[in-house]
Amino acid sequence: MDKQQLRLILVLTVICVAAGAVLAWVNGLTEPRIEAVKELKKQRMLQESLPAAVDFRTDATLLQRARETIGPEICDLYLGFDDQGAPVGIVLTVESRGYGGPIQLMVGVAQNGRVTGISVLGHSETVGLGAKISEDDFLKQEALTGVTFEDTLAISKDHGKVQAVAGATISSRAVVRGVNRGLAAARTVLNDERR
Amino acid sequence: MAELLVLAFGTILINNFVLARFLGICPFLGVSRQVETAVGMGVAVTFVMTMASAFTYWIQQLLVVYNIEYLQTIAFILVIAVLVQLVEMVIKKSSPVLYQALGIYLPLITTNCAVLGVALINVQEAYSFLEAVINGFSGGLSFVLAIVLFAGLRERLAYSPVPKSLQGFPIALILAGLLSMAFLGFSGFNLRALFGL
Amino acid sequence: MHKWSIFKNGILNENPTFRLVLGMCPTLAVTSAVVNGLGMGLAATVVLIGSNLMISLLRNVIPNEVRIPCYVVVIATFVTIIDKVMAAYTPGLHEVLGIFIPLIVVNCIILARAEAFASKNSIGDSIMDGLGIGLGFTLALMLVGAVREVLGTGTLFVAKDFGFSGIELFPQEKGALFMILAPGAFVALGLLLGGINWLSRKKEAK
Repeated sequence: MDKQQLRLILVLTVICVAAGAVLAWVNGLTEPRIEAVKELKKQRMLQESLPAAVDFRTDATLLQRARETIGPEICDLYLGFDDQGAPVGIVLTVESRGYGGPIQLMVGVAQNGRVTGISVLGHSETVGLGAKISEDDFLKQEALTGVTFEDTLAISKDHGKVQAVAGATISSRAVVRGVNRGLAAARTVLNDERR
Repeated sequence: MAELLVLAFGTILINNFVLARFLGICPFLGVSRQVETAVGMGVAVTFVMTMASAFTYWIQQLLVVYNIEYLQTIAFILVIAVLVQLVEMVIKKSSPVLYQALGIYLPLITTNCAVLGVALINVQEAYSFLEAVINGFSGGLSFVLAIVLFAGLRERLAYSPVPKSLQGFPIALILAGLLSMAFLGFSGFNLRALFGL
Repeated sequence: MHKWSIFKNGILNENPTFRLVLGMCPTLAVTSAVVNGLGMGLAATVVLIGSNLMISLLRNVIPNEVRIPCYVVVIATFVTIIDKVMAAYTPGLHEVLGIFIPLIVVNCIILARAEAFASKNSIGDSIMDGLGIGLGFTLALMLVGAVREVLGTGTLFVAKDFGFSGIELFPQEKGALFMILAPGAFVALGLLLGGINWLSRKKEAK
């Protein structure tokens, strides 16, 4: 290898190593903040689903049981407690298969079985059509408010009361399916707790 | 198998890399004046995208193991740059005509957003190795479909009276918009039902 | 005055979007709202200034044969930095722009400027070029974004990250959904490009 070639490789290597070092440093600086932002977002979403709770804790055993009884669509389970430490309800994250990909939902259910909040965390549905499932017009409609974990929901096409998003039957069905799973899981967990 | 077909056809028709995801626009606009060169470019890009998907999958696994995911952008783009160099050498030897025709657009495949884009999408969607490679290959096919159709249209456009201000890129973009709109028609397609899922 | 003319050049004569027709991918992808265009433009500008600076600094050190890989590593470093910073401080914008932030590394504009300008000019001039081209890109993105956002949703400057719900010009239902979808991006950019061509031809005719 002659001197020219050696110089080429040396310069490229030095630049790569310098770049790596700079990025390692920047990563160290921003990582804590990025984690904090993620945590804050999660707390906010949990709060929206179960407003009465101030503290949320996960429970691996209950999650396992929910997944065994209902299915792998149940992704996460959080127990909600108020400022006195009394249980107020449960929040479940459910993944349902939509049109463009998986839809992540969050369903909050109070101790007495009433649904306290339904929100869409993420989706890949079509803009202007399926994407409307994350809007209040759909999520805060009458048929989705005030239901309890004894109910099983369906869109009007499937003889239910939920108004689907116009032109987005598959996306709407996916949300309803996910909510039903969440309700079923809540039923299992909360009823178990009562016994 | 059916799941993979849904992924493939979904990428080619519904989430077309060029017309729906806006990846690979520069070569799409630049190498689409003739169908022949468009096909050559499309094949080269498909090959690079498939190989890139394969290699970047393993690079990502490595990055995760050593907890250096912040090096993803650098690592991916370097891998792609090397791959394109290799493809360039192969084409130069096997088809000098194609090499001449593609000209500067061949090394520019490195900066083709579709190649780095598919690598990033594979990571984002947490695809398995097989899914990643299929996604890369289908992404390339979606690019070929878009660019060949577009070249066909542009060849015809050469005989149309286009207003002076719109000649060149403006009318090409408007034409691409119409093509994109046509592809929107696929967005109601229930691929899962088609493949019996 | 020389520095000022370099700066102005990037915004007008060599505007990357409308004159050089570079960086089309993000121009089409992130302009469904003005704020997204602004965010992307500023991020790209930071990368452009940074990479122009470094490459100009190292222009006599980097051998010609490996210049492209070296430039790419430098650009990728700045892109990763801005990606992390945005994820930490502007999470909403980071989520909306998605993969187009790391894709700044393959934005033809940055590599083209490194090759055409930064590798041949002083640090000061290169910084001005980066600033001018970056600003030109940002303004172009905002223009396309404004057209698409106004015609598509009837609003302007919706910025949820900063708690600003935008100026509503007319109710959303009356907007042309077409404009926010993929075809609208192509058509909006094409018409704007045509319009600017027309304006500059009129100017030349005088």
